[in-house]
Amino acid sequence: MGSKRDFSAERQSLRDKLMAIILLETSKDYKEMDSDLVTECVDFLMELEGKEKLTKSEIEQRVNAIPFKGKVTAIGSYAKKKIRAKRLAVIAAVLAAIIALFGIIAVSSGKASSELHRKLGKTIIEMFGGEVAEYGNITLIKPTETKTYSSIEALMRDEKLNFLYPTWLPENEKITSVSYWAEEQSETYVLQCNNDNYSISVTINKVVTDDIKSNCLIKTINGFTVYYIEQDVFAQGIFEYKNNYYIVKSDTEENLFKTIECLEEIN
Amino acid sequence: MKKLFALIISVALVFCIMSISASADDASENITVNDGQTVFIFENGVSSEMQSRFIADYYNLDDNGAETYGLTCTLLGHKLESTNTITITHKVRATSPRCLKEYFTFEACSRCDYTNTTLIHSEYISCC
Repeated sequence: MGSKRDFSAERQSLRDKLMAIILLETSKDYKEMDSDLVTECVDFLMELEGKEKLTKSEIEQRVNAIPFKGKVTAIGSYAKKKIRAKRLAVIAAVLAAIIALFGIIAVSSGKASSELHRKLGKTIIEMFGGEVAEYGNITLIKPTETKTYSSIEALMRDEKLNFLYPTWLPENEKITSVSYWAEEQSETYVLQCNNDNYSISVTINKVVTDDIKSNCLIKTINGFTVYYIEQDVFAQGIFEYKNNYYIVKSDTEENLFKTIECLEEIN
Repeated sequence: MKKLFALIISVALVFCIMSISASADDASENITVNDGQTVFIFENGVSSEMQSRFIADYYNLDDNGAETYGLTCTLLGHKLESTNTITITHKVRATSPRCLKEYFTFEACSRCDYTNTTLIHSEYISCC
């Protein structure tokens, strides 16, 4: 009799110890918790209680029977999400620091940070023996912004500019920039090449004056009545089209006329 | 927390509106400097120092004199300010169009003597 009571007391004491271990372990942070120990204790407890170990499907059934609201996630996936969030935060902080550093260098050197990025990119490529391909592009320069376009056509379409542009220039020159100039009584776009011998200015809402008409030579080119002069320094042709006033500058008369002949409109 | 967030957003919006208002400048009000035969037309807001440096550079276009670079510029590069300028030189030709109008972009370092003037376009106009 006494031995049976002792055995029950011993079992109860064992159960208490196992419960204490389980409670102690589960109260710890999940990173420090020994889940294997908890599983062992639970299994042992169940054996002591005379209960059989539950299979995985039985556990799933029991869990599904519980009226949860929301998703049941394992401790493992929660831990993974936390670690991922920390990593993302660290990456974001490092990126922000690099961008801030670029900004500080840009301000102190008086250059735009985008220019610094481009230079850095080129330097890195060239370090590995690569060559940076320079694609043709055109810069639009306005008082409040500067934009780059891949072609004069793209620039004119995007900016909704409705004037003639050159499709031929001497010596295979290309338009490199279009700048906007606002004066008190006029607005002018200047199309510039690398070589300053060739350029075109387009003044909006202006017509050819009688003074020009009576003092310049006249030639009809491509349907335009062109008033032109030739100086030692450069040749210049003036004409109007759809209320826009064009001055085309070139090095010779021949190149001037061919440039005007090849002016086109955006469709 | 939500209130603090709303306060930060409001302050940021106010700063944005102030910045936009400050940058809304009337670009057509140019500064004109008449130097006798040549008229210089500067963009609105160009400092008198930039104007003087451009005019000095304009009259010394063929001068390749020495420029003094500061140590900071040598190490970090120039701190450039740029502006667009138009010049009109009157009565260059005997017959109309008589006057020469030139479009320039001008860069100057605020820390040293470095300047760079680029001719964008030139044309003869009829104003005299």
